[in-house]
Amino acid sequence: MKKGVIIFALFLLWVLLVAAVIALPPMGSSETPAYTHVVPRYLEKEVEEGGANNIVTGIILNYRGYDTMGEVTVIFTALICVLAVLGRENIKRHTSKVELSSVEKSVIVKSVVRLLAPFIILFALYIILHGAESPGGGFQGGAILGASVIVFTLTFGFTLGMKKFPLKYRTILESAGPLSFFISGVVALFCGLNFLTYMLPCINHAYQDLVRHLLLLIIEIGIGIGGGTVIGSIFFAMEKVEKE
Amino acid sequence: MLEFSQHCPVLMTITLLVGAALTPIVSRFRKKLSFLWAMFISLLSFFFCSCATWRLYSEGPISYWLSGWEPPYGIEVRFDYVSTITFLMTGLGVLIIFYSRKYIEHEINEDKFSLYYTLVLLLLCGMVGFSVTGDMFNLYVFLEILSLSGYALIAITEEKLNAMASFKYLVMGAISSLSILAGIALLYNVTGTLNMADMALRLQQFPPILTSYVALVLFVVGFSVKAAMFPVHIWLPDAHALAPSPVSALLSGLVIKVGIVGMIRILYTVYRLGGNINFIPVTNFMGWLAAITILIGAFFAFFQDDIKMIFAYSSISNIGYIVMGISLVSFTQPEKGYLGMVGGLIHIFNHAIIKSTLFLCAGALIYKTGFRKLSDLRGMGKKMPITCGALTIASISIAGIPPTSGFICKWYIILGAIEFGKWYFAAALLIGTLLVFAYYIKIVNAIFFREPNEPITKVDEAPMSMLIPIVLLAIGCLVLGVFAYLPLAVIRPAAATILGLPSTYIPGG
Repeated sequence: MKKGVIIFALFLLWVLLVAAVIALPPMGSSETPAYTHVVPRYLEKEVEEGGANNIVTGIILNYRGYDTMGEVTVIFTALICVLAVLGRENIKRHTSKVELSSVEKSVIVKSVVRLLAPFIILFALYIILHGAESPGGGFQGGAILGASVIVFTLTFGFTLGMKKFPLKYRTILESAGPLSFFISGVVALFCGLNFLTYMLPCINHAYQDLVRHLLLLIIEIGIGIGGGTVIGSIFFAMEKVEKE
Repeated sequence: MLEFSQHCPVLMTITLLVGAALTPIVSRFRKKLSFLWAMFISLLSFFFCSCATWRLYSEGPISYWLSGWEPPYGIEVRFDYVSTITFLMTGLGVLIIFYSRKYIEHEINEDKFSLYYTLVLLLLCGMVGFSVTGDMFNLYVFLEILSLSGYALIAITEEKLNAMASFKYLVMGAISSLSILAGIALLYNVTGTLNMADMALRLQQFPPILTSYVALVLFVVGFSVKAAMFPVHIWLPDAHALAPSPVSALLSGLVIKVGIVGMIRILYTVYRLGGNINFIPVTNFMGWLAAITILIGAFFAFFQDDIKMIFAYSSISNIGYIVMGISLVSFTQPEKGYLGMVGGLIHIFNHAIIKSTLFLCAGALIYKTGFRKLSDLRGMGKKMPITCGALTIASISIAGIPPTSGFICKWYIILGAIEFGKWYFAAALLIGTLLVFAYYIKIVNAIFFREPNEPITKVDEAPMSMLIPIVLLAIGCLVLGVFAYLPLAVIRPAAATILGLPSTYIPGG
């Protein structure tokens, strides 16, 4: 009975949503409002106005930079929430499942991870730094960075993992995302411009482009490092041995 | 000064955001610093908010273009009359952080103090950012920040029940966030813009299609969950009653109001009265739900013994008043909805202050005695006269007895209901008020006039850091009631602009 009611309600919702989507202006038509209002300006002018050859990066960091700042804060909030519920890992009383397991990690796995780790990190850095030119950017690179931490820790055990990524650096790097946005955004205030304007009109005009690229780069690196550290820290906080 | 005050609407959000991001780093140097840091940040944000409010009333609404892009291409932060609620948010935030210093030693593990302050700052940041933004997606981003930090603040005490309550809130909250996001996506496809003012214009330009109505329903459902309206209120009692008391004060006083602010923004800024989408059936339906919410909340509160549970159910009932107030509108004659709107908006302010007082008083009682059941708290009035005095003032206020602040809002809402000939709404409101009166009398009776079960020893007045916020808020309850023209002066332009009238509108004038 209860199940039936729920299924019926979900069915109604489904019908409603499908009807709403069908009633939408046609996809792909040149008259659809979503393609004719704001978007043309992004497509036509982004490269000169926004300062990034990759238009997506230009939109998320420049036109809608404030939203991205909020998103980065959501990631930071997620970490704080995990820590508030689970608590930080405790290196002293820690014995991880990986170390407890009786099966020794095979030499092949260890060697491959050891061999690949530098390349994974290098690739992550490439994606972070190249975000302004090609698909990629801080978020994607950060995820790869975080994955490298996880792979390393899973293979070599927690004690070594925590030694390589010590808590005292992680606490600072976790906030890198919001802080890098703040640093890049706030400089414009001193020249009387609005927050998050990546320009400094009070210095020589010839350097404007350089300043803008530099500030965008700071943000990309901040998002990447911050995101990667957050993923790593959440992983460390979650990997706890059940109390017996 | 003018040049600077123009940046304030965004500075107050950014201050909280960066302050929160720095809290874990600051507390690495010294554990004790995190409290001082949180105080400093919230005071700074309160200062920026005061500047912005001052400018609003001297120069009119502030429109701030992030990165300098003109709307609709960039994000617009708009500090208008509805955004004055941020003044309340940052102000209450300061008091609640001050109160937390002693209180959280009682409920939270010591190594989580800095996380607690980080989360409180993030919660404030989310609420402030949500209330000042003029952009749909930005609204959603800040909604996520505040919801996430809200869930974690309930679960931070490491009790099993808290984790359950938090999880229930998380599931309901995730559904509501999803429905709001779907609404935004649909509206974006209809209009091609995310800026609220621009969206409103473009909704009028095109003939209404089914999608716009579905999006409206999704928004109303989503924000109703956040505001804890009747069929979707079930997450509230546990979450608000089990959270640490300062957090309950924040959640009950402010976070549920965010849902109301969202509804106001969607209904009256984006869809607009007098536009080509008639949403009166929706507001009518909301009015009915609000009437049920009032009765259900008051009814269940009557049977609770846990003091914080009573307050939590009473919050549901009060959300009903507010929604009833803001839903009493007429599509073609905006003046007709004025009285109800004023009542609803004033109740947002008054309820925030009254409910924070109540939860902070309850917190002081729990901190000192360790009891939370009314039957265990008998006779506390003699031992903790100041706390219990403030509790009494707040109780009288929430029951709506004339010299206090609860009276004026109910009066206006009843007038609004009569204006529309909906006497049954007025009746529901009066019955709800009577029930409220009954159960608050029950509280006052228990703490002052009943003999304690066993003689109380070793209980004295709460510490100074808890008494100061309580007393200030209790004075606030009285002052806002006796000098009711003060909040009215702030609310009138807000109510008028929401209804699309000039901000200087006076009924009959």
